[in-house]
Amino acid sequence: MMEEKGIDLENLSDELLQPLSQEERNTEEISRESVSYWKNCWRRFRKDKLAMTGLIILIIMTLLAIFVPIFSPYTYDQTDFLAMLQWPSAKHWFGTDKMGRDIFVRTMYGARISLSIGFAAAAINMVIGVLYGGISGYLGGKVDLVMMRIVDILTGVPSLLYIILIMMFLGSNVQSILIAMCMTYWITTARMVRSQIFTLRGQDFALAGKVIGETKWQILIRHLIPNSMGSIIVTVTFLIPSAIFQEAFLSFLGIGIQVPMASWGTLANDAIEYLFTYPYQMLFPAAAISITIFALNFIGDGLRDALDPRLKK
Amino acid sequence: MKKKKAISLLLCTAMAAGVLSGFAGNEDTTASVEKNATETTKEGEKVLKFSISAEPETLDPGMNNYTNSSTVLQNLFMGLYQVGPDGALTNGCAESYTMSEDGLTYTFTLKDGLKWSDGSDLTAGDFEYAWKRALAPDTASPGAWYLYYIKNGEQYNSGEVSADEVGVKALDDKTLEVTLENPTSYFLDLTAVSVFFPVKQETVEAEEPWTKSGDTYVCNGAFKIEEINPQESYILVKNENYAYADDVKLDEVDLILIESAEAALSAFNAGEVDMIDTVSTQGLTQYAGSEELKSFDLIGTYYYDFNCSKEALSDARVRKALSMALDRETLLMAVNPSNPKPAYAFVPYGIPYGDTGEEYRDVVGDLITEDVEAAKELLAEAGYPNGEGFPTLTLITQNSQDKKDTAQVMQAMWKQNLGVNVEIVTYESKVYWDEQKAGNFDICYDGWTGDYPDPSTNLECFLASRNETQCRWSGELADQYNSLLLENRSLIDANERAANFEEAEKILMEEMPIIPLYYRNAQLLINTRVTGVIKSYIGHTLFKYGDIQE
Repeated sequence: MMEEKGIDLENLSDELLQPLSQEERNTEEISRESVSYWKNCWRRFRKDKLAMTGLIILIIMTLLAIFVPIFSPYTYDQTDFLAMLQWPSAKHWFGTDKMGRDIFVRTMYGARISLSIGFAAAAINMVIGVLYGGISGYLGGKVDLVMMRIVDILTGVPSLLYIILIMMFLGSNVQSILIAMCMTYWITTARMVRSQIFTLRGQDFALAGKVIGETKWQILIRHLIPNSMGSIIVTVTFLIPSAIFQEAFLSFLGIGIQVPMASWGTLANDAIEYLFTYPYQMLFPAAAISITIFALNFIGDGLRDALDPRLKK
Repeated sequence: MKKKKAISLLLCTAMAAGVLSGFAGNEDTTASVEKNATETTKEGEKVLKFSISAEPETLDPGMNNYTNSSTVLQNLFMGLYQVGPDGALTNGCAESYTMSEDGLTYTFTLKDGLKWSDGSDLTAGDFEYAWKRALAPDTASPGAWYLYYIKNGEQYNSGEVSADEVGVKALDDKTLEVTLENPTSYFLDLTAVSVFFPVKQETVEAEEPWTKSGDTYVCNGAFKIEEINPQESYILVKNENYAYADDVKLDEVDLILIESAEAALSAFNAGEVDMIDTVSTQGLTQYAGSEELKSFDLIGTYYYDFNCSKEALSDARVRKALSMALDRETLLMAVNPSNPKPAYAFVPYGIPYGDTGEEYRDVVGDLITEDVEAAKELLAEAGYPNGEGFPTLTLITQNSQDKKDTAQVMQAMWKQNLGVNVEIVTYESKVYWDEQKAGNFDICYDGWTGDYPDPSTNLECFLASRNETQCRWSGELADQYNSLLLENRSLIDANERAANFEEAEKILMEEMPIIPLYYRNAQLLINTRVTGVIKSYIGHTLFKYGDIQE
């Protein structure tokens, strides 16, 4: 057939094999650099000054929490009865408490506990919430009905009640605080994920997955959940400060972690009796809580703006 | 975005304003106290405003077994004897008494002209009625156990014998004969306890409950009730029919209910109240060393129990080492701004040594020496040199701030001085006592305040029957201790008893099943215009001797 058209493939003339001119080449190229979804989000996030400040503060706080207790000459439970109730000085940056313990180290050690509780609670809640909400939303029908009524019942029970019960059975320590928080915190995430999945599951790409024979589980994990990741991450970011607050609140009530360990909540609680006489003891842990919560909230705000394409300006 | 910034700015401003106003509130303290002083004197009446932290549990002395109501009842009623203005026992309704030789029968002669607050006569029969009423099984009084010292009191209370067999009898209107179960050298002190107060039969048996309003309330003490405002205040006015009415200087006492110690302190600072009796740490620090803050020693001890049934703690040398390695003065300086006396033995100050007129504590002296080196040696002898091989101990305590703090200081001292590691577990107070009873501890917080000035009230804490749920101390010496105390129950000679108590306490401190930390005290924060108010050795506030200086 080819020969009939008269093109001799063996002996092509050089004329036919000229490279394209630069101009012709560029016509096919996408002029803008290809940007992935996440890269795009990061670009938008970076522009949000408040959110970036929040992120930097959080990173500094995390680094301090990790390294201060390692490199400080003091430890969180080291008492010095010759240096009790000292105001902030070069030797003790945040002063000392009534047992002569260095408040700077204690605040940073408290950051370890408060931040790790915050992140751990958020991570655990994300996993439970996403799976629960995803299953409920994707399967729908009776399964959804039952699963959501269970959630309703759990919301109906005052959380402080079973938190105290858990503390009584498991003792007051970091693990039981985490367990107590994980009992209900996932509910918000679960509800949010469910409604997301509900809207996504009827869309074409989900249907396509079904057509090519993917299992329900694969569709949920590979397609639906990644597509609702934006709102999940935002919800989780807001979970962290509320978990830190909850821990501070529980410790403040005296059902949190055990002495002499310190979290921001117990530090604030210890300082309350000296509020008028030695106010610095309350100032530093309270400031640490406020700053971190602000930072996390700003990050959350920034992420929401960055991750939601519909909010694009 | 703009809106968000505005909100965060608003929040910051609000927080800063809150902090600032908190500090500002502290400054005008002195000014308002003075302002208030003129306000009260204008009326020409002496009115004392006293903030109480909890409502009296009951106003019926026969039903009383509680601290808050005791404070009020001690000022509303008067027993046969009473705690006097100097804290020592003095005559109340009784003019005099005689005691039989076996120490079992007391005959009291009442004062002339005793009257109830409604003007009717008070007789010996009212005492007999009141005591039998409190003991009657139908009354179910929680304070009935105080009357078990009276012959057949316990049996009548449990329904085994009739009321006629109880050892109290009014021989005539002015003579009361009391027969006791065992000789009790401190019986006179007991007659000042509220369950021993007389009550008026007609009032108590009236159809309407008598303790709910000032109109129906009849008493015989320095004050009577004018008004009861539940959850708010109790207005007491001077009782003109009181036997010692001439000595009462105050015209009115307002008991104002302020639950939080911090709020009470603010009210005191603002001059809204003249006196508060639950002083917060804040108040203790703020008024430390000032004339307003008064401290009273109680006959109680703050201590920790060892669980002697645990293997590591079954060795008395280990227990002694742990007790000796503490520095009690430093501990108190760090965590207790009320300056209590450190306890180097168990029986507190304020208790007499027999009838020598001297303090028991001064005669017997200190029985614990704090010595870190000696403690280390003892621990090494017991097989744990420098704490090596010694298990981590679990110390349980309640989750209130002062108790947590005390535990942390002890923990730090033991670690530093002996190399012994202690883990602290805190519980809410109700759960705490269950845990203690169940023995889920190595070391646990405990405390005891006695009821009458006799060493038995403290030392009987470690009778074998009570040890089972507390320090679980047993063995030959524990038995010896037990029998010494039981023997003392039937002894009459005061000095012989005191010698036995001394021997028993020395055994206790040699074996050290407990760690005494300090002797309890109680504080009153009083406006300097107010004089004469004291706390009794049990901790009841007596304002019947109070006065307000012009």
